[in-house]
Amino acid sequence: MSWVTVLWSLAAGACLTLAAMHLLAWCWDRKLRANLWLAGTALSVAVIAGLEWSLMNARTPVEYLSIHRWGHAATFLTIVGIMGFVQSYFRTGRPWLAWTVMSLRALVVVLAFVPGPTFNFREVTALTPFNLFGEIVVVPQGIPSPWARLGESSVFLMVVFVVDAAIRLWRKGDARERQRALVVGGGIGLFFLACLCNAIAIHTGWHSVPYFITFSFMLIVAAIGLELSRDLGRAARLAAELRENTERLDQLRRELTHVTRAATLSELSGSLAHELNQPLAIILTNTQAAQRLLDQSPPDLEEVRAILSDIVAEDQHAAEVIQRVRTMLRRGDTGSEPVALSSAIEDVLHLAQRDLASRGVVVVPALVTDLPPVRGDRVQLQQVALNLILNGADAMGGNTDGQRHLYVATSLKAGFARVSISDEGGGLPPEPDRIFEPFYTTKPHGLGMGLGICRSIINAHGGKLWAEPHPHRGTTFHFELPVIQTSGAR
Amino acid sequence: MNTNGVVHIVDDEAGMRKALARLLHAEQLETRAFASANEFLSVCLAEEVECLILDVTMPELDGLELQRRLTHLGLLVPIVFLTGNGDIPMSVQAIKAGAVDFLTKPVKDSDLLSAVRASLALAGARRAERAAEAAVRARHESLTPREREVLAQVVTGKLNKQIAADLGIGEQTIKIHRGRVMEKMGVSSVADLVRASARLRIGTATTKPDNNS
Repeated sequence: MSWVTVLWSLAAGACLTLAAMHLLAWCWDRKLRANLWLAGTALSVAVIAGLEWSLMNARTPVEYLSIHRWGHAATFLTIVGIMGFVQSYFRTGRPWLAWTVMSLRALVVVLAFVPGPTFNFREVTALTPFNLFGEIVVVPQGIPSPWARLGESSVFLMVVFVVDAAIRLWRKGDARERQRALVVGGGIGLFFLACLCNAIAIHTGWHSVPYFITFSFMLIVAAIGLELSRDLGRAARLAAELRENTERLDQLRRELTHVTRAATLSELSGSLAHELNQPLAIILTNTQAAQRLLDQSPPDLEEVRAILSDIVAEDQHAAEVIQRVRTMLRRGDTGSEPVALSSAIEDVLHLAQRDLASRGVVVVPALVTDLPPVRGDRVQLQQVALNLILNGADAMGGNTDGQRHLYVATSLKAGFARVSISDEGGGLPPEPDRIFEPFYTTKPHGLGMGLGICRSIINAHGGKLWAEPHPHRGTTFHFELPVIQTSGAR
Repeated sequence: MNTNGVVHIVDDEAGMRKALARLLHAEQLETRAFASANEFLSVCLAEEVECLILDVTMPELDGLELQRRLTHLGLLVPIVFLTGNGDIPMSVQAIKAGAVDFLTKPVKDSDLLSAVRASLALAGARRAERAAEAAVRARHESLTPREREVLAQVVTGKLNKQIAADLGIGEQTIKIHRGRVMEKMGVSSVADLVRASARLRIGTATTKPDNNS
């Protein structure tokens, strides 16, 4: 196989590969229009490579000219492809210039296919041998045609279009866009000028050489391809980073949920410690009484037995308190199981009861016992309820008239289980929705995260959380969650 | 039951009341338990309270507030505070207001019992004091107005001659009055007479009418 064949088919192969790659990129993401244009351009350059090779191996002037006509068609496609690419990649080209170039070029194609004298040559008289890389190929000998200037000027205008677009991008762009303008705009301009010179030399008969347009075009396509694949790489990296950040964000959100739960519970720590201390104190005193009773003669075993059963009961009470706290402090993935809201909230009220009592808050519960279950994470839903309950109690801390009722109700509303917690506090601020923003707080030691977290928990459960003024005074917080649809009648 | 005393308990936790009662019963102490400060207030005026074991944190009326009310009512009740979550300011306030002790739950039985015994002893001492005062007062009541005048002068350390000059009567007569006073007050020396008078706060205020309170 000859060097010429190897080189030109290599070029064609490279262009086809590039075309396939960028076509694939476009199929993968239809927004990548520049890649589609590049694929089309690369494809037509591959065709040009084939045609050039055929020209060098033409046997007769007639054959040469007929191949040459198709060369015009392929060049038209290449030029349209490159301008399409530049416009979709830079978005700074002047459309009228592009349309002018295309019209001129289309005219060239039409004229080339009109029967009669050929376009670049008035006539090709003979094919003379030419030594290329030690190999004999043919170059045309003919009478130059003035019409050739039409095609050449269209190419020149195209270079003007590209360079102009590049300069405009350079002027308004940042560092990355400037690099783009330089590599793509400069590359296209330079290589097109090179092939323009090559073509003029051939057309005017100034220097008889074969067409080398393929390589210029290939270098253009390669330069563009390099720039685009850099973009693709950047996009892939960004996607990976985004995925990583999303995971990290999820992790942080989980941690934040846990931390705010722990913070909410820590507000109860004083009363919880007391609640644990109480059974311990009762157990100790009972035990000491029993020791003294056993020292007596005869010992009152009946009383000792009663003491022991009381100790067991108190111990269980303490264990329940610990269990409730441990459940609330459990760290882990968000669960998704049927949750009976009323009983979950009852547990929360147990947990908070001492704290509420010590603040003079009277809880008025109205919990519906046959509420259908909702799906979700019991602990997180309890966290929301606890947060709202403690908020309500805080809101009534400044009440001087001693009215501190906290109404805690559950109800069923059109396929949604609703929890409503009302206080008799100072009510909502002028912009009620701000209370759900992070770091919004009215408490001197508040973190301002509670309600935001509550809302994100409820949203994640497919429900909603909102606040409204409570009739007469105070605020009502509602949250509702879709109930699990049970098949069949209840 | 042969009791060593009666202990009143105010605690909102039923289990705690029961346990305290058992411990005190084992020591032959009688108990009366109340679930709230208000319940206790309704009975404490009717009977003498020798010892009160009082919880601090309770709904409605808390322990410190009850102590304040008792003081306001003029009731000297020996109080042993027993709390689950006491702090220093709380204990200082309680002790300053006259509490016998301020203990935290869980409490060691020996600590609690010694505080209870201290309360009972204090109540006993106060009772004895009151009895002694009543006796002295009765004796003082038996004095004639003139004898009371003489007594008031004697305990300030004045000589018979000075008293006679002040009251405008003869020194001999003063001597007789003085002898009667010593006899009626049941004392054998001027020092004893001064002590008895101090109990009645005679001689400090000059002419204070005896309102028999």
